[in-house]
Amino acid sequence: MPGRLPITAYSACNGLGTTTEAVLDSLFAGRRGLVHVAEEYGVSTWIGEVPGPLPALSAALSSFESRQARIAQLVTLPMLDAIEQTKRRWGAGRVALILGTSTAGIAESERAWIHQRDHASLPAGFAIERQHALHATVEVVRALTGVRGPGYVVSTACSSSGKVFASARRLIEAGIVDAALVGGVDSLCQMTLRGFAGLEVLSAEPCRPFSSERRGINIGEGAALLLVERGRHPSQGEFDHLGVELLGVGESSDAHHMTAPHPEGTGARMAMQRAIEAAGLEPSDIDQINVHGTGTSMNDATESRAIRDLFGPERSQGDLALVATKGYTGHMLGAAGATEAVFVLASIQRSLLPAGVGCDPIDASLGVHVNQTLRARASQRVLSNSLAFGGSNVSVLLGASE
Amino acid sequence: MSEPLGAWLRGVGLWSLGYPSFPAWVDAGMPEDLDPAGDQAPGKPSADLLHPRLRRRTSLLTRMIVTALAEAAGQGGAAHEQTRYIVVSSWGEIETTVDLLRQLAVPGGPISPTAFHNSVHNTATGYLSIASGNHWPSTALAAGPHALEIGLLEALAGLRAAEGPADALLILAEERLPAPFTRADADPSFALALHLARAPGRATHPSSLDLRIELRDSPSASAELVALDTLPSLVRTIQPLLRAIAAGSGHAAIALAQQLDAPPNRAGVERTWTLHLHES
Repeated sequence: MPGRLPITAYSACNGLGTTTEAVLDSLFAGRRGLVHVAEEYGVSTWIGEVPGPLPALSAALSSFESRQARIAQLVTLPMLDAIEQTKRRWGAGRVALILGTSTAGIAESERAWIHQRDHASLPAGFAIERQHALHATVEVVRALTGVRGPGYVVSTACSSSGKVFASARRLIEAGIVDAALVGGVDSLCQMTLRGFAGLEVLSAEPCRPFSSERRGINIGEGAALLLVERGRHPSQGEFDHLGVELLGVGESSDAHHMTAPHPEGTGARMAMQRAIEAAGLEPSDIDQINVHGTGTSMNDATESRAIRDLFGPERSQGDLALVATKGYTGHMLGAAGATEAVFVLASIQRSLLPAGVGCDPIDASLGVHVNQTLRARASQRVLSNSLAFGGSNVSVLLGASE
Repeated sequence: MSEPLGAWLRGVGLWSLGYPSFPAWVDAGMPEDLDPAGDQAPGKPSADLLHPRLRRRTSLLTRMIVTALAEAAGQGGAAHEQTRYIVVSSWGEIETTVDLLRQLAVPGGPISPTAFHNSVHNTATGYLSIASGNHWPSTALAAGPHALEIGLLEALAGLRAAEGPADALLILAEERLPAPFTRADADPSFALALHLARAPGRATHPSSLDLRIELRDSPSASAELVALDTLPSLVRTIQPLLRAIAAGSGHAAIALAQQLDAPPNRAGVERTWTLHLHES
C-alpha cells in the first residue's frame, strides 16, 4: 500500500490576488476574481487575470522574459524558505520539479509571429526555447529554487497540473526522489481565449457552474505550487507539515472524443474510482469533491452523471459536499488542477466550504447538489477533478492527517 | 534509489522522413541524420491505427507517433487497449500551433476549432486512446534536453506502480521547427517508440526483443555538453540507445541526457542516470 504523502507548503496566485493570503481571503469571502476582458482580444467574455503589473524577473532570468515566467516567479518566491528546508531534509537532487502548463509562453510567440510578418524578423531577444517552450517554465522555477532532481512539464491540457500529483507519487514510490515541488502555471493569451471562442464555449458573463443559467466557461490565468514529501525521514522521523496529505491520484482516458466528454461520464468516474482505490478507501469514505465544473452544459451534465453513478443519487444530493470554484478564478486550464488542490487544502485546514459563486439557481436536472453558501464543514477526505481535451482525466485525493 | 528501476524492452519503432521503420534505418547504416538522403523523396507515415475519418484531421507529428508506435507494439506484442502511452516532446504539435499563430494574427479573424484542439500537447495520445478504446492513463511531457531520461523515468516508475497496466509505449517525437521559428540546430521530424513491459514477450511473440533494461543512478555519467543558445538535440541523445538495440547483444551503458554548458541562467540538475541494456 502506497504511503500518505504530507504537504509541507503551498502558494497560489490568480485572478483573486497576487499572494496566497489574498487568494484564500477572497475565496472564503465569496469575492469573484473575474474582470471583463480587454478589447484587444476581440472576444466578449470575462477572465481571471493576475491583478496589477507583474514584478519584473530577476536579472539572472531576464532572458526568459514572458508573462508566463513572471507568474511562475510570483508564485515561487514565497515558497523559497519551505523549499530550502525540504532540500536540506532530503538533498536538492532528491526533490523533483513537475509542473503542468497548457499555454506556456505562447503569448510571446503570438507577438513574435506578428513581428516577423511586419519586420521580416523575429523580435530581438526572442528565443523559442526560452519564451515559448513548455520546458522553459521548469527552468525558471529550477533557477529560483535550486531544486536539482528530475524536472519536467506535464502538458495534457486542462488535466496537466492534476496529473503532476500522479507523476510525483510514482517517482517517490519508485524511490527516485523523496519529495516533489509540483504545480501549474498558465498565462492569458490569444490562443486559448480565441480558441475556446471558436469552440463556442466561452461565456459572455461570469461563469455559472452547475447553474441552470450556465452559458459556458471563463478563461483564467495564474499558478499554484505545492511541496509533497515522503511521510517519514529515515533518520529525522516525522517532520512538521500542514496536516493535509496526498492520499491517492486516479487517471483515465475517455477514449471517446477530442473535446467532448464521454456522455456517461465514464472517464471521470474511472479517475475518481482509481484515486479512491489507490488510497485503499471506499467511495463512502469521501466527503467532499472539488468538481471540474467549467460551466459548459456538457461538462456539468457528464460530471454530475459520473458523481451520481459512483456515490449514488442520495449522497450526491445529500452529505457529499460538492464545491465549484471556477466562478472565482475562471478555468485556469494547465494551472487548474494545482490551484484547486490548494483550495481543497485550505478548505480542509479551515473546516470551511467556500460559497459557490454563480451556481445559483442549481440545475435540478443534474441530480447533484453544489454548495452555495460559505459553511462550516470538517471534511476529512476530498477529491479534486480535472477533465481535459483528448479525454484526459485526473482526480486528486487529499485528506486530513490522522 | 533503493533498487534499480528496470523493465523488458520488447519492441522498437522509428519513423522519419528518410526512414519509415527501425530496420530501414539500420539497413541504411544507422545514419545520424534522419532526413531523406540525397534526392530521396520524403515518406508519409501511414498511421493505419487511426480510422481514416480521424486520420485526415491529424498532423505529421500525430501520424509519425502512431506509425512508430504500431511498429514497436507489433514487434513485442503490446495490446493497444491495455497499454500506457507516454509521449515526450519539446515542441509538440508545433506545425498546427504555428498555423494557429497565423490565424490569430488577423484581429477578430476565425480560429479553426479543429486546429485548436489538435494543438494540445496530448493530441496524439487522445487520438490513440480513441482509436484503441484505451481507458488507461496516458501522458504528454516536455523535458528539454532530458527527454529520454524523463520518458524512461515516467515509463519505468509507472510499470512499477501496482495500479497501472503491465505494458508501456514510450514515444519521443518532434516536428522540425517551422518558419518563422526555423533553426539550423533544430531536430528533424521523427518519432521513436519503445515498448517497455513488466515481463518478456518472446513466449507469445517470437519477434520480441526481450532486452533487459535498467536505470541506474550515475553521478559521473559523461553526458554530452550543449553550448548555450544551441538547441539540445533529441535525435543525437537517442543515437547510442538505437545503436545498442540494433546490436542486440552484449551489454551497453548509455548516458541519457545532454547537459547545458555552464549556463549563467540555467540551473543544472544533480541527478543523472545511465541506462544499462543487456541480453536476457
